[in-house]
Amino acid sequence: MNKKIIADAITPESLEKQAQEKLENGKYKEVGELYKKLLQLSANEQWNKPLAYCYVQRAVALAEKGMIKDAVVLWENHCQYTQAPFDIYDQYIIWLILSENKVDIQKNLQQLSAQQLDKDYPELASLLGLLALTKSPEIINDLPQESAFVAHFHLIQTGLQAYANEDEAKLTEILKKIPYRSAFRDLRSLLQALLVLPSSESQARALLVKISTSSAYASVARLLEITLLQGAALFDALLRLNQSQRSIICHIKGFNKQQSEFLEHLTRQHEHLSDKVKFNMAIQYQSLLGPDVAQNYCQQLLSVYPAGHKDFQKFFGASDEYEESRVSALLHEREDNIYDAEYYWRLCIKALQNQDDPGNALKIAMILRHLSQGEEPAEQIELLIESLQYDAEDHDIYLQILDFYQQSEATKDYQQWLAKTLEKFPQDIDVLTRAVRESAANKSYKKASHYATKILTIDPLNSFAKQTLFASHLAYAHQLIREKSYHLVDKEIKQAEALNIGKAYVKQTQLMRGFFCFAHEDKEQGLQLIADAFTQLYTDPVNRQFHASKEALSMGLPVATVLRVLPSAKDHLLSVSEFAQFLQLLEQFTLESDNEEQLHKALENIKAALEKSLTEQEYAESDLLSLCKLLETLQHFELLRHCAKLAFDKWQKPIWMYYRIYADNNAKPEDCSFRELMSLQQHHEQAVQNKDFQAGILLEKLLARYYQVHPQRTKGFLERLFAMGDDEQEGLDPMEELFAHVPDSVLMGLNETIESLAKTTTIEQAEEDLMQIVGHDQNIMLAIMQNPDLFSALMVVKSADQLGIDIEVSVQDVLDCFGVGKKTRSFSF
Amino acid sequence: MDSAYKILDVAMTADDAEIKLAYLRLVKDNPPDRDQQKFQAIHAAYSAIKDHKSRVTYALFTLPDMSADTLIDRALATEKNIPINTDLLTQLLSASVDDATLLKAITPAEK
Repeated sequence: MNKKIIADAITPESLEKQAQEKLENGKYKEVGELYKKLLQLSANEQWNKPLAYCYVQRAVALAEKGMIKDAVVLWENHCQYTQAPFDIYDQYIIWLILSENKVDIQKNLQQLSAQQLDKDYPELASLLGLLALTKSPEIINDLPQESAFVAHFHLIQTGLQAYANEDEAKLTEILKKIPYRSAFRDLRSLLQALLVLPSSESQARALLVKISTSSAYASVARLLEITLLQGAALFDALLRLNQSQRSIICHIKGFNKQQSEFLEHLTRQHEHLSDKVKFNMAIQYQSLLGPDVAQNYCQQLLSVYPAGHKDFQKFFGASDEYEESRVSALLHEREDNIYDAEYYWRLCIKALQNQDDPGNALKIAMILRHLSQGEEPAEQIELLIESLQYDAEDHDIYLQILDFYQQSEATKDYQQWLAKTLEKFPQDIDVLTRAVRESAANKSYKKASHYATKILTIDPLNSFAKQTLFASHLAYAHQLIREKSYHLVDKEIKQAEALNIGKAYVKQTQLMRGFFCFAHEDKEQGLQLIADAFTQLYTDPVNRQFHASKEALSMGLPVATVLRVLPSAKDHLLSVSEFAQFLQLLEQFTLESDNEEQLHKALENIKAALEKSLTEQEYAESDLLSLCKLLETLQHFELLRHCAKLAFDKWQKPIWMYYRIYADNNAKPEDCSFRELMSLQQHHEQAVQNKDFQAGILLEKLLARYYQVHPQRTKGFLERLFAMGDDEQEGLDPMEELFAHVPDSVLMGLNETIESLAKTTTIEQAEEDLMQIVGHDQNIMLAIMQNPDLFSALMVVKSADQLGIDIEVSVQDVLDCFGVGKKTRSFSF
Repeated sequence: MDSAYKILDVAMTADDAEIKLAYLRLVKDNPPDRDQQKFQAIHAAYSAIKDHKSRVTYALFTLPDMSADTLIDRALATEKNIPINTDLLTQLLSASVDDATLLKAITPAEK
């Protein structure tokens, strides 16, 4: 019964179906067997084609595996089931060439038509061309003589003869006759490359690159390219060649016996090139490398191959301690091991100091400067200063040192180094500019003028020097008027005028002339000149009054008399541009003045107008910020308070809270109330969150100063409460009295809640909450605000209430304990 | 990486003028709009060795190339190749014909 089922199953239809399924899966051998069975069942010619196809596919697969002879047999089998033209006939011929079956090769080459050779099988034609020129010249006779291939072959032969005769013109002419579609087109490129090679390697390379990697001539093109390589690149390429190819290249490179030996040695060792092998090779081939190169190379290797010291000594003498340390230092730096690197750099310095070479001083200086780069600023400067002992001519180092002392506000050191630098570089504009600035900052106008004049002799157009000189002359004129040395004033004003640096400066000299006239010559005429000059300088009365007050005060002249000739500033509202001008003026005076009292007095005269303007006008936040910075410098707390309050109401940013609290406490943050302290902390956190670093730093400074005076407040909330760890806190501590009975674990929980409350509750909310607890009793509220411990204790009770924990302490207990309020109602949160 | 001297193609003993001349010549042949990377390498090399102080610094803080390539470059250096005559060309052509060359010509992917 089973046999019957099987017999029923083997029908041509089922076999064909199976064959098709297997064909789709690429199982060509099984498919072939099925079609053979089908052909046994019936000589259906339509099954021949797929069977032939399967043979071809199997042949290709075997050829890919290198089983060329088997591939040949399978391809020949396929011919029984199909007719010419046969599939992949060109591949079959190449398989025959690979299997060196001369009879079959000849037979098949003779069967090739000119059409097949010239058009159908370009890769085969290219390969046959190469074979005809090299290993198998006889094949040319088997090929169709009427083909373009054969004609081009003869042309190429003539061309090669011309190349042998060094007849470049003839070769070029012949190569022109080889068309693009010729089987010899890549050989044409190769010969062209050879022609240009002596004059231009790059042109030769460009021609060789044109030869496709799939071309029969790709290998020879690559070999030619290798002949153009040098050194390590050549060695890498040689490693990938076979022995015969390598020996031809070495011959073309013209290697001598030693080079060939070196190459052979290296080829054997190239996979194991340890430091030891490299060291020994350098010694072994020192005559080839050159003794100096070999010695240097071995010297450098000693840092990583210290075992080589003995051999080094034997072949080259004593090693260079400096070089060894230098390489070690650099190797450690490469590994980010700065500590050991510094150790070796110090050894380098020692070695250099022991050598008698004048060039070593510079090396030592450079090493010290190099070491300074990884150091903290203070150590960095020490090293830089030390480096100047060895190389005192580096102008940049002096500037770096000056920058450091300036930034760290080490005035004395800065001045000392400025003097040294000036002595060293008396003609350097950068240094002179610093000298001008320093002198001006110290109100040494004569010195500032001296340096500015020096700058102008070097650079007559230097505007900074001109402005400084101008300001110095006027400042000196001020001083002379104040000292009533009137006979010298005119000279100073004239010198300022002679600088001729712009219209704005002319107005200032006119103003100065007005004050000089008022002080010394004719009061009325002077006042007129002053009024005229101010009219030209400013459009508004506020700036005029302010400037006039400041000038009169600094020259010791009667302010009221001068102001009388100017329009009143009382009701004037500064426009945005006038306000900007005022800021500029205030900044200038703040920088120049050494008398803050005078500036305060000058501000007093315009205070009302300024406050009114600030209240009623809309100025940019940045302008208000500039004003606050200047007022902070001047310590003018009244105006600062006014400005900061207005700004905070508008923008509620941490920086404005900083100015508010700073001004409210007259720059004494230690006097902050607890509420203000909370505010500072809250806004500091906000500044940090907002990445407002400027405000963050300023608020931090206030907090630091506060905590410096009140160190106990720096502790954690509950630590603070119980002064944990402080054994000096003995006696009646209300906190202890109130909460000592509460277990630590409960207190820890409360601590977290309080910290969280402190972060999320605003001062106003806290105040509101407290009012709900203690009523609107101002005395209790005041006591809470004044005593942070009382506030904290109430917060503990509130937190416990929030968490639903009974700590057996009520608000009334807290108030009683601190001795405030005698409320009868039950206080509960 | 090539040394600054190699990039500028100057001797280790070259002075300021020679180095500047080499730099200007290279910049002329390799303007930044043609090959920005190459121009930057040339400029960096020049900055590294343009004057005595920079050369001292360069010599101090440049880790020597201790790879085998330094040895190989030196050992296999040759002045000039032997001219490739017909005989050598034929040798090259013959040496290029091996099974790999033949198989390459019929690799299906390349056909």
